[in-house]
Amino acid sequence: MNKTVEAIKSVRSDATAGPTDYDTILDRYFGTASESQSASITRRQRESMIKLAAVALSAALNAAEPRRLGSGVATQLIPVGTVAASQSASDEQATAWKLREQLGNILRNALWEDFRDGMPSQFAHDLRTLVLDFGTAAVTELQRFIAARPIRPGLGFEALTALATFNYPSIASDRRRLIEWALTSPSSEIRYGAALALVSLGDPMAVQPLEAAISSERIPDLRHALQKVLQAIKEK
Amino acid sequence: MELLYKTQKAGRWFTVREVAQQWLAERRHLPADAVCEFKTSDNTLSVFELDRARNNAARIVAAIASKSNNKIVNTDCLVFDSAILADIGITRNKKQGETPDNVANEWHWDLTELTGVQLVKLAEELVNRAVLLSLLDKELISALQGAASAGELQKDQVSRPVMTQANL
Repeated sequence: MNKTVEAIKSVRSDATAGPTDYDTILDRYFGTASESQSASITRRQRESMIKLAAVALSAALNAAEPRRLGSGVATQLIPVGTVAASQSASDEQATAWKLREQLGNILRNALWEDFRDGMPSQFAHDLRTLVLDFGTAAVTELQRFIAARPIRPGLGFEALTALATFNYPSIASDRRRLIEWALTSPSSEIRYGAALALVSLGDPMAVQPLEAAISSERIPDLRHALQKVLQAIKEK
Repeated sequence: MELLYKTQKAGRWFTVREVAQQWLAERRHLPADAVCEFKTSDNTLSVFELDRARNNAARIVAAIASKSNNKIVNTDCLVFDSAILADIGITRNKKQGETPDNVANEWHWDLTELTGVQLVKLAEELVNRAVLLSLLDKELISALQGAASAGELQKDQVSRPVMTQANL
């Protein structure tokens, strides 16, 4: 246990430490077991070491990036079993958990929000905060969420058109992937939202997916809207 | 003659119409949400008259949006034949509009003394027959600028965010 406390103190003293630094610190305190060494360690000892390492790492991550991970992450990461301990001891996974939780909360809060033309929505505000906190991972998670669960089409429309107003180059690639995917959504409102997002972005790379969407669109009104968007992008 | 009704929220009509058509096919009744799309005030619904080529649609919607305290955004409107109204027994009266655009105001009509039954019938007719017209923010701003340069816009009635957005 003393080793864990020392490890936590060591990482906390350097809040800019990156994942490689954590590995180094953990190696320093817990050692890198060779095959012969690990054979001599009992299963119970190995489990104990992994648990301690996970606790130390989660505390260290929390100290290093409080905004990104939020308070209380360290306690959430305390493992129940060996497998959980080793899984939780990763920055990516902890971030993914937190992101998933926050996105779920945002979508839940937006369930009954009444969106109006031109009026900034609370949902759009929350989505922006999420992107600021988690970066482009928020966009890919949103896509995963929409793909996995049927959401209110109006929410999908709002998400797409709001994302198009975020001027963050780091999300551009994943956002384009999300919008192009949304152009093939079974929901006409989401397909329309994707088209309006594209016209906001004015991205010439959208021409090809838009042409494909137009050729497969069966609703005449929506096909006309897509054609108008295509023309607007070409004229830019 | 074709009439224009501006929807409450861009995109929503697609879902409203899909659900309504499904309900009408399966239950022979219109879902309440489809009726809620039509906001009456004093039992009156506000619509505008379109020209033959629908060229004045952007100007009408821009005129409506210019009073709003928000920026002009992509907007949807429904276009339908005025003959629908006669079939339902809805009275329409030409009345000067209240937008900042003097010319757009001339195209305004009120559908007056609407009953609940008439509104439901109108919603059902529009679900089945109206055409959705999508207007992009850029064409709306351009239409507003056109009205301003022609001296037909009362700028003092245009909201500050729209004035800034359209460089008026």
